[in-house]
Amino acid sequence: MNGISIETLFSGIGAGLSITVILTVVSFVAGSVLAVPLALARTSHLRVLRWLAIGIIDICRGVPPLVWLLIIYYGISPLIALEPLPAALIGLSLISGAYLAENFRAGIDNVHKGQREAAMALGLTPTHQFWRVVAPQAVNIAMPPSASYAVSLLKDSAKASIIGVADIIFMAQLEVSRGAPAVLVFSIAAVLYLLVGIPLSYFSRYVDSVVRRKVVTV
Amino acid sequence: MDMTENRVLLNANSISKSYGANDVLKGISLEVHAGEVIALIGPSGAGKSTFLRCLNYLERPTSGGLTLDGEQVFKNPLNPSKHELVQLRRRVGMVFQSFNLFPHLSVLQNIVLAQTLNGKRSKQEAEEYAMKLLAQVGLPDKASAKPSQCSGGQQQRIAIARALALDPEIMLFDEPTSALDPEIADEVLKVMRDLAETGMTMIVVTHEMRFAERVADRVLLLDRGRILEEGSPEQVFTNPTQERTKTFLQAVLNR
Repeated sequence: MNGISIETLFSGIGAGLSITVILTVVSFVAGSVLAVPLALARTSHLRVLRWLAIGIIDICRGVPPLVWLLIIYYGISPLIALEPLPAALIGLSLISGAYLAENFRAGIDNVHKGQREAAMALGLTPTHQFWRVVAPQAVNIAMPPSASYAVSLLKDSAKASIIGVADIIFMAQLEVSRGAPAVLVFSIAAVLYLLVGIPLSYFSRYVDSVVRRKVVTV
Repeated sequence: MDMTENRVLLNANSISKSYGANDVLKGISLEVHAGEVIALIGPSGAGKSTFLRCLNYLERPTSGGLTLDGEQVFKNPLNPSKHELVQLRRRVGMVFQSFNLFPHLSVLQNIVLAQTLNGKRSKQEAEEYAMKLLAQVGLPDKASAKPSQCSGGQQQRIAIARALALDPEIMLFDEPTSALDPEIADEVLKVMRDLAETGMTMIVVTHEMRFAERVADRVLLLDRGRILEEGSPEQVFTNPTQERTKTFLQAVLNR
């Protein structure tokens, strides 16, 4: 085959890098936003809300991400002409929302009982008790597992190529179909994931150590 | 050092608390006069902390009522409104055994938070007041520290300042020195003694018999959910009426 060099392969596959990063960052941010009401419902005093949240979280996490992406893409795109990228973003955001909601829930549950009592004893309203005392500590507790979830989200984003999102894997498959050696192509794809993933996991370890120093159990 | 007035500040009327079939409090009544310091002593499991926590409704009594400064605190004590609960707790300060400072805030912010959120003072006034209170508990240089950077005794003094910031009419102390080494406990007890001398009305659950003897105007001994013995420190410590009181005092004083 003509014109196949490591450089051209890198730039060809690398063209998908920005889409991979967009998939990861947007779904993580949107997932965090979705996770807040889900976590609140999950820890609500109202049984109906709690069950509803548990149902949503279990369904989102119980079905493999790939299956979600296929259902959303093939289920919705005939109705409203959904492009692959938005379909993948919707799917990955929902899944992240469910995972992050469980992290937030664990964060809320793990704030020491005495913290809420102290807030109550100071005559804070229930809203202030939660948002000014419990929630900031819950976020600190939820941060390390959430940062490490971002790393697995980066890797999960590769599944979006199945529905035609032009990410790293999609571009890699394109190169293979043009005749480039598959092992070489996917090794280059792996290197690209590592280029993003390793700094991300170092960042998540950094977050973990900062939080550990910050949240000292009293 | 009798700061006690005749005015009844807090009246707890026949407070009972049960967890299922377990009756923790069996109808405890207590009149607290303004400026009075009351020590609640007794064996573990007697219901001392539970009773104290019923006074600001961290525990909800199964029956009984509260009046504060002559007014009913709750229209329906068994079903208090959120507003009534918040109002009660803004008038009654509490200090916990485990300090419960907010670890995500600085020492100063710990003392400022409720003042500003409760609309009591502007941020600037609240900070000035917090600094004054920190000086009062002997920690003016800890304002910008995090609670985790303070020793246990310092944390408890900060917790006292935090409760005082709302200008409570009465202060509840739930075993404030039980988590501290004896030497460290003394610095907290000193702050409490100074506070008592300012005329603050205080109810203190404690195992510190010397503190009860020297600082309290009245000592109550609780046992199995009832008040077993009640009187001045002299009466209770030197002339107890009940056999159970004698054995309890012997056990704690001979430790």
